[in-house]
Amino acid sequence: MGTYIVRRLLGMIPMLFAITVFTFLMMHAAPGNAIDAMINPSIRDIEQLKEHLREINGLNDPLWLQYVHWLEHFVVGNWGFSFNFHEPVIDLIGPALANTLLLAVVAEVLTLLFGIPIGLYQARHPYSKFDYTASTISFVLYSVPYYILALLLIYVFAINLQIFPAQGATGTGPLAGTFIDHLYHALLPALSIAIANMAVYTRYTRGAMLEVIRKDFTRTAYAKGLSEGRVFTKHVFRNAMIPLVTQFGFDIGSFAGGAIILEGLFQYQGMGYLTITSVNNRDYTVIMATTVLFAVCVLLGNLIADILYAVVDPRIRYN
Amino acid sequence: MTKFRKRNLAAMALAASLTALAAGCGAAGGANNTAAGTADNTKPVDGGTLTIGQWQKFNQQFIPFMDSSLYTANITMEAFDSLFNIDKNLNFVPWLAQSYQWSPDKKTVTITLRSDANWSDGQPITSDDVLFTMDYLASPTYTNDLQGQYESLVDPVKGSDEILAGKAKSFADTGGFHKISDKKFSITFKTADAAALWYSIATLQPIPKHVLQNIPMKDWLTSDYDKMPTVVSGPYKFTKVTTDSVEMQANPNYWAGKPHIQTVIWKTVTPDVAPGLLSSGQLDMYLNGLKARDFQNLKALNNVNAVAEPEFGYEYLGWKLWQKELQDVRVRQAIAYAINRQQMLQGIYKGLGQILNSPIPKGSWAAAPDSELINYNYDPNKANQLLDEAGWKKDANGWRIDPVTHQEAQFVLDYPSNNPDRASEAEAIAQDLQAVGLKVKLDPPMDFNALLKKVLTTNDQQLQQQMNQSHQIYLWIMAWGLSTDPDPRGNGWTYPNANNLQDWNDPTNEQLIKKTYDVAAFDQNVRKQALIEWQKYFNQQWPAMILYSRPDIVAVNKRVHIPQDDVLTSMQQFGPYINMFQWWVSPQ
Amino acid sequence: MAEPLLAIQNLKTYFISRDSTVRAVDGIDLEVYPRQVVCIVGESGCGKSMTSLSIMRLVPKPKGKIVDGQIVFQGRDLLKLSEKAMTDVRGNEISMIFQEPMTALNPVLTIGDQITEVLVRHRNMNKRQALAKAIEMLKRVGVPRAEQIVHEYPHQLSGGLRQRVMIAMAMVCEPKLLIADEPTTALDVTIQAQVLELMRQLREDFNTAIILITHDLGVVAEMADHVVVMYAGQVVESVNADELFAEPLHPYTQGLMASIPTLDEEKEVLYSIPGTVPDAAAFPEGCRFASRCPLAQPSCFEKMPELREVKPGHFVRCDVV
Repeated sequence: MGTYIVRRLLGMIPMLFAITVFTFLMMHAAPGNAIDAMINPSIRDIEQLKEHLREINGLNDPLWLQYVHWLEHFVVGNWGFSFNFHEPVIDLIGPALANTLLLAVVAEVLTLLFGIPIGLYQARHPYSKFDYTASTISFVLYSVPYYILALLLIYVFAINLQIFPAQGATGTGPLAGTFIDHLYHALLPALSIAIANMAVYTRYTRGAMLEVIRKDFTRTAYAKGLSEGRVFTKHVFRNAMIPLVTQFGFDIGSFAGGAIILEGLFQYQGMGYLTITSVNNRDYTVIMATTVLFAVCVLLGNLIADILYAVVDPRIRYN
Repeated sequence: MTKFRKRNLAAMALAASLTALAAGCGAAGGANNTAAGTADNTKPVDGGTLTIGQWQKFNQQFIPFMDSSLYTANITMEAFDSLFNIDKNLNFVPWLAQSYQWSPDKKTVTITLRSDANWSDGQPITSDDVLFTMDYLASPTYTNDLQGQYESLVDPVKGSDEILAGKAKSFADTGGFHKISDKKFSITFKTADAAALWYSIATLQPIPKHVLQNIPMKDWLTSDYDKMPTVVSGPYKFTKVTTDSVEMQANPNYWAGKPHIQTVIWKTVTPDVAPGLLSSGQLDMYLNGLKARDFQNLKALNNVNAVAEPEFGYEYLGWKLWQKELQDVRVRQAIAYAINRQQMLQGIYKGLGQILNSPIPKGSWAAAPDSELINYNYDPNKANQLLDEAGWKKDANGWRIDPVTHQEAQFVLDYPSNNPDRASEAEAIAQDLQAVGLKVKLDPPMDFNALLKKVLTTNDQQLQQQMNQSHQIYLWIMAWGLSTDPDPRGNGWTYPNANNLQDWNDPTNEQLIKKTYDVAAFDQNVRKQALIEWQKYFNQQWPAMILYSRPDIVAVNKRVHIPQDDVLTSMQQFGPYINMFQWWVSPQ
Repeated sequence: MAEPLLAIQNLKTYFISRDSTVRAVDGIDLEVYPRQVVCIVGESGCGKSMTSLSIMRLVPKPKGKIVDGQIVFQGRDLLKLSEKAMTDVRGNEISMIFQEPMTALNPVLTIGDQITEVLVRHRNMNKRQALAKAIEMLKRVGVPRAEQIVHEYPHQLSGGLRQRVMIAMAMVCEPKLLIADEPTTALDVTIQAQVLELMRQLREDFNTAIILITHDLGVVAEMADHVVVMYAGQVVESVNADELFAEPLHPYTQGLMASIPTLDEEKEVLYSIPGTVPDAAAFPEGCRFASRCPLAQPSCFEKMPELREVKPGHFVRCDVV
């Protein structure tokens, strides 16, 4: 297992390298950058300023040299300076990543906490009223674009009932900025994500469970005299977890990306919000950093999925 | 372009909005308050909290001019006063500067600071603070290391080039600044220029030298003071800053009097949910970004006043004046008559906004009165007539023949992809032009940077030739936000100028613009007349199709009392909320 | 003879759906005496597997349903037991092994885990005791390296080993009755013989009666004390093994016998019974084999023949013979 993980980690290095090259070229090919977009009318000699900024930012160097410089700096954590926010990129990414991770964790916990048990219950009583109702509701929730759902949640819980804050990742008052405050602000957006994802998990869980229930070894388990509950928890669920783990890995992979539209809607200061703001402003140092982070997250997500896969499925572990 | 428009531009429009808002408030507020008790209606109450929403996150760079975001500036504004303020007609009026006087050669201005203006820690605001701020903006560190964008605020001052080049350290050494006393100094400009003070030093927000002098300037960016300035000159002090909200408390030592409202909270709120939060009272005010389609709903709320006023800026249809087809003024005017701007405002902005026939919006003191300008009302007949006169004959299919190429004229229209309204505008324009026989090909929407690059690169001679040879006449849609001062140079109407996207190169125009800032123009009346003359020439020449000012919508809870006179007489430089220290809120 | 260990009377197991009723098991009678090996023989789909699942009350839900009959095991009607009481029977007094050792073991649990849970369930053993017993049982069924194998997963074992594990799992509580549903079909011939030998051995050791379900008459010849031939959900012939092979009476049984490939006759084409099994959702009124029967009389198509004792202990569902 240990060597398996190490081998997979080493295997990521060329991938990462390829990603940085790809990201760099992509950014280079993108139309313009923050400097080109400067047309502040109050800057009188704007061309000179632009040229100066290009020079000090190394944008006049040959492409490969720009890449090498960028990579050197990137590796040691010097991710450059945001033209838009006027802050070092790493200072922007830090809090944004923390917020997004909190949101992702809360959303994932909610998703799993409700999605899996509902799917389990459905699988245990297939074609029952509950099953049909849950399937219909989750289908509807899955079909509704989640920003509509989010708006609905905001209006109900934040504006009418005023239970949750409508916007932001932190609030005001004495608790502002504390972990509790962050958690409180993450709940509503997390719920929006969770409701959509829950549908995926209930369907996956139900489907996987029903498939496993039909398997011969389930019949064997019953034939051994195990109670239904025991059969479900020990024999069926363990096997049904295998496809769920894959989905979980995808989720981890998309953590850092944040939910771009959703974060915008909640003005939740996470990676998604940072990215979209930066894309809108051609803030390419930030975009490059976030892109690489997303790629790393996807790779890590895959790795974690593979490891979990091996944990739940001995057939993979021993091959 | 909205991003990089000077931060006070949008503020101007909002200032105008608030004027109307205050008026509305007076009437509605009166009726509203009878139930609560009329006695308190005119008597401000101290205390309370005002919660303001903005739709973009501020950047945690609160030293003035460190950051170029409007949303940061709106907040910084409450903590840092500027030397001059503006009135409702966008005239500059003394503020931290109590008075000013020009030297006979009009190169030097002597400014006296208010004797009662102190920093919140009790230290007086002095000439040294002003010099310190000017040196900060002029320094190479500011432009290069901090990547500041406001060097222009000191650029016209004598010696700015030497400081930027590193040859001098301070305007005190270059003859640009002369300290007369702690509260009095003079500033010498490079040339006698009637606009120079207004587009530069007037909007300067001094920063406290006694706090910042001990921190190396390149470290300001990461200093605690930048993240949350503790010593301020304005009506509100920072008390708490989180990633997405700022809490401020009244500065009891504010020179113009302690503000009525005790706490001001800034939040980041998306326009999608702002109307809901306004109606539930969780937000007292929302700035920048409310949608035209929400305006009527906001107005219908009985606890909210909503006002839509034209922004201080405009949308325009640009073209390259070196394109042979467009060198005929009749063609340019024909396009003006052919486009139904009223219908576009109706369709896209619910009838809000304001049609412009000159590049200075009507909110400015310098705007030419309608009577002085050709009013390009929608008139397709007139457009057809002008095109006929210009020799643009129609072919069998009803399309007009380009007199240069003797083939069907082919226009190409580009527009940026960052706003869906641009697409609607492009379609409307294309339809209107086709209606008078001008064939328009709509390009797919372009990334703003790509569009800008395309528009800019056409200055290249070779490209010009290519474009002329392709027989395509190039049009584009963009928007400008404007500076407070109506100086035409600031907006790229001179040649050469990086912002002169039309490549308008006209000696008469240069002459007229020169008159708006020469020595004679130091007389405000002369300057105004010169600006009107220039606008008349512009209006007749029509070097670009000015479309209209889009609406800016502001919504405020009725419990917020905005004194009408205050708004009318003393608007601050950047702030859309003007002199917030005079506002008060009804107790809840 | 003594009391039967298991007596099935008129068992009917149907699959009921909205638009059809499939009569998978349609009124069968069966008796199993202690230590007896009863073979149930028939083509696939004849209801023999459903009969065994009915005994375990593991008919696939929700469509499968035991609609009538009795299954008396040691004096108790299993069909009247609560689900809870039934779980005490399964794996304990009656065990079952399945055809596919590849899929009948849970792939994500160790062998030891799968065997010990039976003991934990029925014998109240703790994990350690159960593991020791499991290892002992594995050794007994001829699994080499039993101590290691309990920590391994099914995919690490060969098919024959897996079936031995299945058998160990089924026998670990020393059940009175073992139901083996085609236990050797998926195994190659040498392994088949070993497994059958093992079952015989276990019967001797534990006095376990066995219901062996198979379509392979060779297996029947080797193992059976008594044979029940099923066709289309019914018993068509029931007799002791020797007599069956000496004198098969039912035309279907005769057909089955004829289709066994033998080494001494050099037939060009293997004999097969012509025609097809009738649709279990729409059985004909008369004899279900009539349409394929070489001896069929007109009356066969009208009236369902009774299972009658044509000779002492030899039951046949045919009016012609």
